[in-house]
Amino acid sequence: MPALNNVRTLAIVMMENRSFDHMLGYLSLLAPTMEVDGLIAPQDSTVDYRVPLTQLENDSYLNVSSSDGALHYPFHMKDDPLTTDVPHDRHSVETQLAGHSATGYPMNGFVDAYYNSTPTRMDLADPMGFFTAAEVPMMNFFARNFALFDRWFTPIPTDTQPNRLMALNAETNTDRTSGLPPSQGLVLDWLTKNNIDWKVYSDDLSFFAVFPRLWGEILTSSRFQRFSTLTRDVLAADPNNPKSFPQVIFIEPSFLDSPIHPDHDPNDDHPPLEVGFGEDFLRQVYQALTPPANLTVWKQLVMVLYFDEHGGFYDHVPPLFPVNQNCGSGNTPFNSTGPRVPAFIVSPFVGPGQILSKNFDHTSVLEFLAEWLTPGSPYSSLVTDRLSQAGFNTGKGRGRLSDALSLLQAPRTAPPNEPLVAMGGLRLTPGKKAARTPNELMFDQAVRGMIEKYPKEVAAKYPELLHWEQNS
Amino acid sequence: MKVATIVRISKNLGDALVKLAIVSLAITMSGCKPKIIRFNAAIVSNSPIPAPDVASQQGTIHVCPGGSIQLAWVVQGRASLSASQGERYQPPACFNISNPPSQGTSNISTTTQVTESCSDHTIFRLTALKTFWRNSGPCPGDGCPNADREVIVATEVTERIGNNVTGCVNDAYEVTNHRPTIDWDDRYHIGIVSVEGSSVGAFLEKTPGRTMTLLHNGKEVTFSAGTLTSDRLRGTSVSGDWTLRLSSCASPPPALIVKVQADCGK
Repeated sequence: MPALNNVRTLAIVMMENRSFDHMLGYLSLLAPTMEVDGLIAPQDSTVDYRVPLTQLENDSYLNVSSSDGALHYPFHMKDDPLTTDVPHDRHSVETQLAGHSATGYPMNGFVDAYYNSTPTRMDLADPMGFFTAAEVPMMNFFARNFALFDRWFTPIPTDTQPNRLMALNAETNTDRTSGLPPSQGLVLDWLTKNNIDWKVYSDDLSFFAVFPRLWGEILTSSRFQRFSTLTRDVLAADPNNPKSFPQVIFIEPSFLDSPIHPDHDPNDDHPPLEVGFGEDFLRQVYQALTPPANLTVWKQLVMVLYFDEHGGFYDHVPPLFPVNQNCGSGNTPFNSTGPRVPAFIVSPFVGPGQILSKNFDHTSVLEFLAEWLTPGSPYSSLVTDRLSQAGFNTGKGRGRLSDALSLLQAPRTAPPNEPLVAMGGLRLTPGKKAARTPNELMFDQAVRGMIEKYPKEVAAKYPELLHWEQNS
Repeated sequence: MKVATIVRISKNLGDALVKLAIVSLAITMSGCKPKIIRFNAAIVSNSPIPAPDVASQQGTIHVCPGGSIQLAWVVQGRASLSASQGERYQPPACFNISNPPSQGTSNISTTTQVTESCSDHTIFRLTALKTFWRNSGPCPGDGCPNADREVIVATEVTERIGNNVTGCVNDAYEVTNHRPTIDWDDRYHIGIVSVEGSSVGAFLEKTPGRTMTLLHNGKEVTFSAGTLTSDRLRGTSVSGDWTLRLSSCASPPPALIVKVQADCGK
């Protein structure tokens, strides 16, 4: 696709732990509806699902709690902090999918998995909650103004670390989040090897900090920047100088599981956080990339926004299968993807309200990188082998990101205006906390390792990490 | 007047079943931070209901107005506790917690009496808080360990009971559901049971001759195209096993469900 030459920058934004139906299922439920595979009302229903706490009593979505027999349906959830996180480890996802590749996945074990992990018992169980445009105005804005994927699956049915590793190189040597990840190749290596200019903009601690071999570069290289510098760099982009802005940028939110949040709340959408924080972050991202004073970056930008995994929230679409996946010595291979997650392309090269219903997962981004930057030379055999599996051919078949760029020859000129409604949550008091979850422990281990190996560099670039360590 | 009211309430309480909902909260420490691992609830009465078994208490509590409720919990580790109501999704609190949860620096076992009755449902939230937390925030990051327990207090309830349809056996689909005795006030008596038109009812109406049989508390009800409502279960309790069987394996609905109306025996 020669017109891919019109793309100058790819921005990759990966949020945390929300499923498609949870965030975007309302698009097919509430007027003005979109033709997406989301939630639908029972026939002849006159219920107004805009009313918070209203249940969507469509029996196709029924989840029955095996402990007390209670029937649970999706319900319109308020954006409050959740009582607790929603389980999404490998075993819990197996319970949620409630089936196997030979017989199919009924997708009706979400409440059971939740009740297995918490003593909370509620008539409206958190995993069954869904939002509407009122709670996710930026998601709504992206869906109606850019390209939306309604069959983008998390690569494997388990938690954060393996899925992020898959996103970063189509491989994982672990099936769960446990300590620092095993050493493996990363997309950063591929970019560097191909002389592609890249940067990482992190709202707090970068996820890449969990890779010890990157500590030195994170602390000393200008490639790892604070998110607050993104606007400055975008404004400095020169239309006549392709080197004035990176070709590939990673934009990272402030991770809830990171030990530090020095000056603002985490905003990665990881439960039990309210999504208001993440919505506000995404608005900041959009505003940083579309400054009216200089639209150089925007005019040739493709931003891919997706979520690392479903976070234990209900989705009605069964995963793709079979997709065999090596996931570390001694671990049982996965034979399916995980559930769907929200995903978008935000770009002047896509039409408003464009819907892509072919099958994608996180490794589709890697495929696109090679298609765009090294045409004729695939990203890796890992990506090629994975995406060529029959498991991706169900429904409308496997998709390519470049399919979405229908306006490459005639891009839209001005970025649409983002919603300026109030966003954010009400809670959080700054201060330290003790690491508890596997993800928190992973970040905790990464920071302590960085401090031990690079004390001066940490003091220079991330002094708050030293402050955190001294008080922990 | 006040004395008369109290006497009447006492008489009513004496005549009525003594209702106790026991909420237990077991908190264990992960490292030095308290973690809630269990938070259960149940109803206990003078009628032939099994003695409370904390381990078997499963779900949302349904209780008729007028009973008293007891909260009890056990905390392991250095923690303080707080209990509140109406934290999420709920109207203002209507229970009166007479004794606040205990605080302490070692294992805690506490019982709190809740005496007021509600006309609506509420949620008890128990929060375990590390007492020697440093810095300013009580529970930064992902918040304090806590757990919510919903208590539905209502004179009348409408409950949907059933389950997802799976495989066909002997040319029929059969699903089961169990409502634990411990979660349901035995003053609730079933009135009408119906099959909703939006689900199974529609299937029955489309295929004359097809039937769905309901078994509960030793009674059997048969629904068909012309009979989508029944009072054959009138007066029986909600708790127990429910079995629904749909004849013919043609075009299965996603679930077999009945709608059960019950009240507190007016």
